[in-house]
Amino acid sequence: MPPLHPLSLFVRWAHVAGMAAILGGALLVWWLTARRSRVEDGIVVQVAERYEWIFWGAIGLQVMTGVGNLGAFGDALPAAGSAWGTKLVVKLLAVLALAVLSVPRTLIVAVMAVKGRPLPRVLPVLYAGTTAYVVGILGLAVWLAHG
Amino acid sequence: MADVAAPPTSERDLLVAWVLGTFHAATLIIILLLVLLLTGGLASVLTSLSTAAGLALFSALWFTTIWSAHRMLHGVFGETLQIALPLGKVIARASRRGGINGVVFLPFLAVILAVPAVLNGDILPVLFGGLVFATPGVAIAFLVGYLLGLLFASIDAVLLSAARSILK
Repeated sequence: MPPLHPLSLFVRWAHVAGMAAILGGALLVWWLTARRSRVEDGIVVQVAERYEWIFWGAIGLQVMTGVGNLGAFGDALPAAGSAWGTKLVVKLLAVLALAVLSVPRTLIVAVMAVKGRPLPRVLPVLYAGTTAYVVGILGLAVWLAHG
Repeated sequence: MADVAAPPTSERDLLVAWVLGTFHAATLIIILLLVLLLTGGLASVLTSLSTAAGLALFSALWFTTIWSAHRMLHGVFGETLQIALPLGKVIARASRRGGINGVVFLPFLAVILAVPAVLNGDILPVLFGGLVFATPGVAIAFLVGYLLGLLFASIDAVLLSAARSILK
């Protein structure tokens, strides 16, 4: 097996780091919103707003490095009809849906940040949903990585 | 409506531009990947691009799309993301901005594709390619960008109304 190019290694590292930021951040905001009685509302909204900046940066990074990872296959990239190709199609659709579903969440947080207070019950539901969905995508990624 | 004439660039506006610009660039690439994968053309496209060129192309698209979204959103939203301009005007502006984004992305595309060819000494094909990029390429890039701007403005409007309905 030929040694990996340093750029390919960096691309793989960035892909994993981006996923860690998306999942870890969602988990953190969910945890903070679930402890609202102990954490000041303004701080929760500020952390959520910071997370949205990081989340979208990480989504861009995921797409960019994801294409780079696929490029490493070269001509050996399995066809869409193969078992692996089907898993890849499912993962791409799942990431596409994550991006679409995340836009309203970010817009809601942006409005809350202007007002400086969270809507009761909305933030925990949004971030619990995001965390659960991202865990699902992580499962798909592991499934894909193991052929 | 004074804030519409000279709106301040708040952090909220920057966040919305960052979100929508990233959303547009990322979804466009994912859809292209899906189409190429399902039609069997993905492997040949990926092998024709080096990793560095692929990263540079996406970075350029990401940068120009965020810049375009930032320019497009200037004065569009009020404090609670209510649309402060007529919807038709917003859609027309989004389409025009999409067209401009296509034209702005074109030189990045040309340079990133030309660098490996120049390094290989293929000057003549690069000059011919540059001529094509500079003439019909600009018109095609504007048209493609215009249509994508129109499409994404419609999707954004649906997602915005979903967000507003949750906020009510």
